[in-house]
Amino acid sequence: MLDAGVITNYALFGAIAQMLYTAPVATIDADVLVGLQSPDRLDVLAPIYRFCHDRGLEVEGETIRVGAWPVQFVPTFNSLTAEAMERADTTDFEGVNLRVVRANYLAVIALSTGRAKGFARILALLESTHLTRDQIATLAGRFGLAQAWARFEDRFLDE
Amino acid sequence: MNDHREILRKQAEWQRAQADLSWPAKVRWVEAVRESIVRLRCPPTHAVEPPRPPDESG
Repeated sequence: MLDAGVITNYALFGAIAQMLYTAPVATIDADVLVGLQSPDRLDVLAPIYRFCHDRGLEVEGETIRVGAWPVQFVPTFNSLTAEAMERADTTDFEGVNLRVVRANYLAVIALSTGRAKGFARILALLESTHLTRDQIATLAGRFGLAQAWARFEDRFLDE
Repeated sequence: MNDHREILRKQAEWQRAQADLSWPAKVRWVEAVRESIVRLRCPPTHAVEPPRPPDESG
């Protein structure tokens, strides 16, 4: 997809990316951040769906079945997710190099959603020791989420 | 009490072991239980009959 110019870049995020750092977590699909040639068009995902359809991959609701996994392609939707995708690490998955969003970006994206599931992700990442509170604070501050991080610390970390 | 501590210790040990697995091993593990997760998250598709009122005929 990258070589064909359908997307400009990609990186796994969500639960599948989280598992690079933590114990396995229950999930039913794989989330992939993608950069697109024409992010402003209305049918923004059409080129991806067309590309996959031409290769015999099935569309299932909002996802495309790739092997055992329904994959959800999510165009980068703000400067945080765009930077998370660009600065992703390349990691080997059974002989295939895959780009995976780093732990600090996973945590701050989770923080930005304000959802319980995201908060659980942050706590799991902190517990994994791949990430420190300072690293989250620094990145959260750069993206206008300093207050959200302070609230999170107050609620879940400062006892 | 000691039994509970032993169970918690074993659980913590198991969780640490899970976290130490390789990334592909973790993904394959979740893949193996994926269908069960789907079934747990989705409501049953069969219709559930409402309870009948008590029979007042006799």
